Amino acid sequence: MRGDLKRAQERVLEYLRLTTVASPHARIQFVIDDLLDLTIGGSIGTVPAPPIPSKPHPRGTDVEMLRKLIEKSEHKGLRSFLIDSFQQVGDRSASRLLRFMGLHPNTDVSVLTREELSFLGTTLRSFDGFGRPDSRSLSPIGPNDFTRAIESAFNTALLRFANRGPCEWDGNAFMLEGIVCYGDEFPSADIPTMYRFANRVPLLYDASECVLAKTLKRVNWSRYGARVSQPAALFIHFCSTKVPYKAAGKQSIAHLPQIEEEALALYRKLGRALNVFVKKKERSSRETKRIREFSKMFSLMARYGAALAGYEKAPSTSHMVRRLFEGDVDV
Amino acid sequence: MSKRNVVEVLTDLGKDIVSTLRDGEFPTFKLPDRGTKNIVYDSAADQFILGNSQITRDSSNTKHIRSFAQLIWVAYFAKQLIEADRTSSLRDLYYSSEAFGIDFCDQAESDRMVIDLECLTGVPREKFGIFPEEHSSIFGAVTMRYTVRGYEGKEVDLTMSPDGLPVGRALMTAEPISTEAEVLLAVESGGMFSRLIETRAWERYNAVLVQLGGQAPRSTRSLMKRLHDELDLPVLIFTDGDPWGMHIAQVVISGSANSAHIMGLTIPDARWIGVTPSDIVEHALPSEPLTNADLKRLDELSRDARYTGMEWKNHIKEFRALQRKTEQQAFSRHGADYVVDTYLARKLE
Repeated sequence: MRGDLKRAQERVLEYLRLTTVASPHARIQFVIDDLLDLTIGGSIGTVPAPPIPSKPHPRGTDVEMLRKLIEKSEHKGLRSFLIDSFQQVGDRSASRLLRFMGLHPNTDVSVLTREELSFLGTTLRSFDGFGRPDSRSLSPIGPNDFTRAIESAFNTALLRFANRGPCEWDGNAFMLEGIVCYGDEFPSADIPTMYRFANRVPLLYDASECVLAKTLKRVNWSRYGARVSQPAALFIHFCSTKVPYKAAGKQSIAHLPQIEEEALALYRKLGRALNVFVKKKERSSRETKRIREFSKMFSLMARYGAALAGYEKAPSTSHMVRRLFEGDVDV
Repeated sequence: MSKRNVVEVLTDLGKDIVSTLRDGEFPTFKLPDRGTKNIVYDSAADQFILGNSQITRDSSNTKHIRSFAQLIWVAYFAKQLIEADRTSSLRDLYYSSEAFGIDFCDQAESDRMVIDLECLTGVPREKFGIFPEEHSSIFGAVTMRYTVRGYEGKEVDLTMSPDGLPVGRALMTAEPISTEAEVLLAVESGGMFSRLIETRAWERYNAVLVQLGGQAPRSTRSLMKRLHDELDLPVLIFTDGDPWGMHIAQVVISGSANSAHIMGLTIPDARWIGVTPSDIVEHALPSEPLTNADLKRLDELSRDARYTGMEWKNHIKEFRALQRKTEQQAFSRHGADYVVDTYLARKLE
């Protein structure tokens, strides 16, 4: 493979840096011949608990998958087959489903016709009696690790974590977690800059196609403190047992209504934290300005008062101003 | 109040500020409240005066400190003016402030500070050498003696210039010595003023002429009052025939709400000779209908304490009945000399 190192170097570094955010337990050494030897990451000393493998959820079934599952479970009765092959399917839900379909629970799975298989697949997908997919199969970064990772990689004055889920799309569990930041290291814009991750992998390209980025524009950020250009940033991690990528490049997540809805709710949660922060910041800068202004006018008053009285020197006033605003803000 | 006393008042103000600061206290002072609710008519003095309500300026209050500093600066500026024997217009003062690190939003704000200083010290701004931009003029057989530096003791005859002399600080502080005139006639417009000089009406009627130029500046009112008091000249006022002209006369007679904190500007026995509503009819003057603004002004005046006299009430009633107004220049309709030969003849004799 050929590439232009000079042009790519920044991108590669950016990718690795973001990787240390999503996988804070990883320490990465990056060496370019004699040019660069860089070690980053490893802000967390512990390895995250591995996700628990789970059986497929019935809502994610198709005929192909059914056929494969049946091959593995020779001559099982239909009900046992359902219970053994899928998660969230128990005695009761399996019996209800079969009663609804008019199939006998003990029917041998290997004798099902093509039509019956197709019907079974459709019914499994649409039946609403199953519980949510098991979220223990997900590997979210979690509030502590996520916060610590960003803290050690970026210089930010605000770190607020929020998450949504677990939810599902077509039987696949997913969660969204995010952190809102504020600092000069981030670009100033009317909407926050977003860093996307899917299952701990940074997504660098095709942002305009991605549901996470598109949904970001649906939020009225001016209501969340981003009235003027503010250096705010969002780190958004989408984790799922299956990521619905939009294209083979795996850089953007497809536009599914469930994901959009959760993303919107997450952005608003983070937006509220941003709003509180910006308001507070504005208030304190207003206050500082007010004190500065006061101090200036007060010393002018003293100066012209002394000049009026015919004195050479104006009395010192800074200690009085300090006393007056004691405890408000640092003067 | 002598110049030395004024300087002393200002110096004391500065000393107060400094000694309060040295004690570690925040200076405050009280000012009479100049809000419209606190302006009352004093029938004994026959002028508007400020009521008893007071406001406190507190330098420890972030909302007050700006105007506090501005006020002290204006006092400092005033003291500089007096000591250097200089004068300044209100506009000059506004622009000077920038060089001293004091900023005013607009001239209205700096003008307010000057009034605040007047209220605080009880000294009218003319004593500080601070004047408004507009000048009115005076012409007539009066001899005055200057007191301003460089002209001390010099006498001036107010007929010296056929254009009249501007009423500035020099005239305002000059002493009236003698006069051959028998009456002081104040007119609203410059056109009428020139007409009366040209036609030698001032000789014919033995009148000192004053051009008010709309609402008269305080310096002019105070000069008129001195001529009235010291030379025993009765004061007559000749304005346009509308509610506004009538009020110009009223302010000369009983003072304005804006200068309610200044005493000794009013001439209670001055008289408005016209143009009255009945003059419009009697002299068949060209006239215009009263506008809504005019009528609104009439309503305001009819509720005004200065208009409670029978004569004033009649004027208002007649304006309302006639629904018309006119200007001093309208007499030209009957020829250039009509106003002098006929109108003033009737009014002054």
